Amino acid sequence: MEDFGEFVRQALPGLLRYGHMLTGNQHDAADLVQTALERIGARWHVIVRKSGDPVAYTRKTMVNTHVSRWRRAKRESLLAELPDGPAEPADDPFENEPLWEALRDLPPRQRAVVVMRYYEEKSEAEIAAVLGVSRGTVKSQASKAMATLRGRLGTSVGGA
Amino acid sequence: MALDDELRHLFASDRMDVPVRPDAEHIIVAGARRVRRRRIAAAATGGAVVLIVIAGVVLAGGQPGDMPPATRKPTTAPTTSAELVKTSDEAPPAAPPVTSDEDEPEGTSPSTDSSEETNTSTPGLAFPVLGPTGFRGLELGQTLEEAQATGVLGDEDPAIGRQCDYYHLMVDGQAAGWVLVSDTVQAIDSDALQTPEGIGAGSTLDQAAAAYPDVGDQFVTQNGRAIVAAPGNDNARYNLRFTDDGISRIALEADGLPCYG
Repeated sequence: MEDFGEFVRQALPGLLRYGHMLTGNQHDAADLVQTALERIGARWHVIVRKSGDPVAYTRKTMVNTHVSRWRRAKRESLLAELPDGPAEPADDPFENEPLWEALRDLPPRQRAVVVMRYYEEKSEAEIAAVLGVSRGTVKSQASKAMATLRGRLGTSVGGA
Repeated sequence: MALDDELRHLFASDRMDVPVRPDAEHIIVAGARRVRRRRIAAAATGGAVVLIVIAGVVLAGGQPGDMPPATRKPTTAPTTSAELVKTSDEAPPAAPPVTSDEDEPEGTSPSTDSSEETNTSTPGLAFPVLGPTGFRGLELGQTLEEAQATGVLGDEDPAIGRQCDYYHLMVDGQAAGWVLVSDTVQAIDSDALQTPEGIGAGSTLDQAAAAYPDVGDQFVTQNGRAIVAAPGNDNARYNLRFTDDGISRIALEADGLPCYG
């Protein structure tokens, strides 16, 4: 577990950012990352042996966990506490931002497709491979997501 | 600014950072150890059950060799009615996703982009058929080597699956689902195949119920899936995954597959 611990230490900030994008809030992000990493860690040597990029595989696990019937578990939170004692972390820094609010309202898989497309810059084929779906499904999910976002945002943004 | 650029700008923002407590690493490592211990304990329990069953066969006058291979020819009774899928708080990381949004493979369904069209009465899907024993030569119960020889088994994805290994299912050269392998092929799962009864992604609940009388409304509503007998194979079943708009994907599963839980 020593190597896994080192991996967690180095990868955690980036994975939490990724979880924040996928879930839309910091609490669910922390729990999703924790769920995924515990599973990865439980078979760490197999993952390392079979794959050369544990971060990519952890992200993939997060995506598939998130779009499946994952529910937050009651567990110790990874989130930092405020200096004056146990408390909820600060409000979501994107609160009331129209694009963030619209993203958060998308179905989990559509949001995952948007994150993989515009954060990871993955192709349709790569996204399809992560989700285990056809490219056609990825295309239709992306199309619906973008249409929904445009509809929610009105004319405030444009472009393809 | 274009929506694409707005999204990239948003995702690149420093505000996406999540404050983490200093001992987070230790919490996660400890959690991974717990998960691993549970897996080992579960495996040991499963082995004990096998031994008990074998002992029971011997005591009953039979020989362990009389028992068909557990996965090649499952001996469990066929599923004849919708039943609750075994679930746990440790579902596989990427078990065939059960989604809450609509699947609609491009160019394969007569429905285009309208949820009201999911109420039509004829499936009319144009997917390749996932038969009661398998897909294009890939069959439940085959060894990994046999499955690889079919040409429809893609690369393994080691990030997913615990009890079973997940391989990409190749449909017409494209990855479009998963093949779950334990010692042998246990399940074929895809959003780009249909059953011989014409049920696949895009089918409605009514269509599924017409094709498979053991689909129950209440069960589907509560669980988002239905397990139905696979006509023509007493040792397999179809696992139909539903969203609010209908079926999102289907799987052919060997009865008693050890992949979930």
